[in-house]
Amino acid sequence: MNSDSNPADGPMAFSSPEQVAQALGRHSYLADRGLATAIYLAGSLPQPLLLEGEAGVGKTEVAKALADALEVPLVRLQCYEGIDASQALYEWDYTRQLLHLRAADIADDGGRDIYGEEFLLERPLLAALRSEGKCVLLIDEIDRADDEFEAFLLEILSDFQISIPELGVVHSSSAPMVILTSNRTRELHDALKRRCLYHWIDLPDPLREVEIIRARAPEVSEALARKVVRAAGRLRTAELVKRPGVAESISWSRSLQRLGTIRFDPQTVRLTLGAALKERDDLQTAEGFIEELADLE
Amino acid sequence: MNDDEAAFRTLVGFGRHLRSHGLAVGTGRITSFCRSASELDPTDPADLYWAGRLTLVDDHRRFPDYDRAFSEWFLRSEQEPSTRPGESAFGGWDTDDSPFGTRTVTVPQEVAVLDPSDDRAGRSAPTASDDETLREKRFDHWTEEDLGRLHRLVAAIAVNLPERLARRTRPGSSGRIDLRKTVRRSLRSDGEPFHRAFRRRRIKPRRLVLILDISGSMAGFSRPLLHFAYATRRAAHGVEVFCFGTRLTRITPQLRRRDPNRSIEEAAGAVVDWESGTRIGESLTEYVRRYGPDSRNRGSVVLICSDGLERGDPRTLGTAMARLARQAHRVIWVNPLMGDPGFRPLTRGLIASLPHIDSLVAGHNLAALDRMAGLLAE
Repeated sequence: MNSDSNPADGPMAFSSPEQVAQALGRHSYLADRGLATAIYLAGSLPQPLLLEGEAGVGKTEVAKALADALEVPLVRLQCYEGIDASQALYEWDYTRQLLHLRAADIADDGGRDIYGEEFLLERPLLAALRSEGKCVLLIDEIDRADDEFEAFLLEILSDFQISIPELGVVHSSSAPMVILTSNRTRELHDALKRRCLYHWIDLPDPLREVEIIRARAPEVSEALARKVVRAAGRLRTAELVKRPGVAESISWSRSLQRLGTIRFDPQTVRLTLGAALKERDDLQTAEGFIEELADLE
Repeated sequence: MNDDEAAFRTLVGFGRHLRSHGLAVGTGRITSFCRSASELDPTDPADLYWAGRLTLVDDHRRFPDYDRAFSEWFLRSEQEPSTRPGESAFGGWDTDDSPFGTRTVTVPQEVAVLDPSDDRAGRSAPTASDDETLREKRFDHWTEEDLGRLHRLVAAIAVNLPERLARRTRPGSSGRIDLRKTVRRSLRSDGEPFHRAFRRRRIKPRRLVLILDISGSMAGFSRPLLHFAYATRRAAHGVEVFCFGTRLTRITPQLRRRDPNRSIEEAAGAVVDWESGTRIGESLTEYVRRYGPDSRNRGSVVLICSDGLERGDPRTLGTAMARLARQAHRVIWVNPLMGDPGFRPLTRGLIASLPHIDSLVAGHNLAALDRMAGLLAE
């Protein structure tokens, strides 16, 4: 365990928000004061942290950088419509169970035998619980799961225990760091929000965005990063279906760097714009002011 | 009273103060706030600001309210805490020797359609608009007395929604093998999976999205259509209702009340552009951009009730309709003007939309609404 955390308090304890920002900074994530405070509190209270913000502002990246900074594994649960306990919690290894039954001919012992630990397949939530607090649990895009799943999740987040009918209750003495992300495609249930700290990650100001690009893609020159940020800023003021986020600025800078771009002229912009805009309608819209995006020095 | 207790009272008092700004702050949140503040440095206003914002607010659209309340309670100054609108004064670390320099974070600007000022601005609208509607006679010359019976009549229209396969499964007699249950059953047959169990995907009704034109030219039809929307919302699960004149407003939450008249009154209150001009193109663009990508609105049946009298650029409408057609399972356009015998779909808006509409139907009276409802399940 490195100096960022104090093993006596469990692996999640930072001593101050500033320290959180420093630790994340070492892993190329630049956190502002609000976010650093949010993470500090999420670890020290402890309470799950709900992050919202437009796509591409780095919600998922926070969790990754945090796991790296704490030197613990990142356990990620990607949500989608219809996700249920067997995909989020645990499942029995049916093939092994069947083989075991047939091989041992043990049907008369009531079958307890095949419901042991060795037949249990861990899914993210169970894995997080069993780590005894030594992981970062990322529940990604919770807004895509349905209401039933949200209720189920609420139960687990409130007492950090899971009951497996055949096996008993799995309980965690210390809570892992839990980060939930949402893109606001639907309203989350109040009960879930009440249980969490809430932080909205905004798009960074231009200076900071340049720093972020330089931190995430060190090969990109500062001059190029500035041009990209200026162009991305212009794109964000347009009527677009999907505004480019920071992730898009980074990917655009990388593309330009890879192409060895020297002049950021309209033709270059046109060729690489697909890194920033992912909708045909948006590309057409941007064509209308492509001269403004280019750097005509 | 010692210092700790005084500080504690100040914090709890802030929670109550927030309620006066319309933020729903429960005891649990206040407890969380106090714990957070004690984890940080409660004498540093910036720490206090963030402790409160992280625990007491759960919607970024309410940040401006929070900022105001915070400065009133803790800074007790006349001026706003922000240097310019939307920017928080507490974004930075206050020491200059901090390795991050001084930073500011931007509090997001209002992006909502349903911002709280809408409610206030529109409060006086319903009575005036009801009068307006009652004076109108285009819904087949309804008298005021008839309109009193509107709700009961509209509620009798049966809406059947088409179905789709859901991602969730239920036990069935065929489909995919339910391994969990099969293994359990095979315990009885010496591990031989003899009695197999199955699960099949559930069937769910598709979502219905109603987008109602409540602009001036639709005045006579707005109320019957709202009643229709209310009745449908109560009868079926997962119905979303939007209104537009010059801008789009989501009124689904307002239509949840048990009393139809109060519900509709509240919905009308949420709408600022009641009986105004029409900008269908921009309103639908707002829909396909903001609500359409929602996985639950994808593959839905979208019902647009409008006369298609577009004041804006018909090309905007055409683009929005093309997008809508790609997102939706079916797009049905209900046009009250189709009741006129001489009707031709020649308004510029309709011409731009026609290629992307699955069916164009009349909606000028109850019988037409009834026929239209029957069409949905197809």
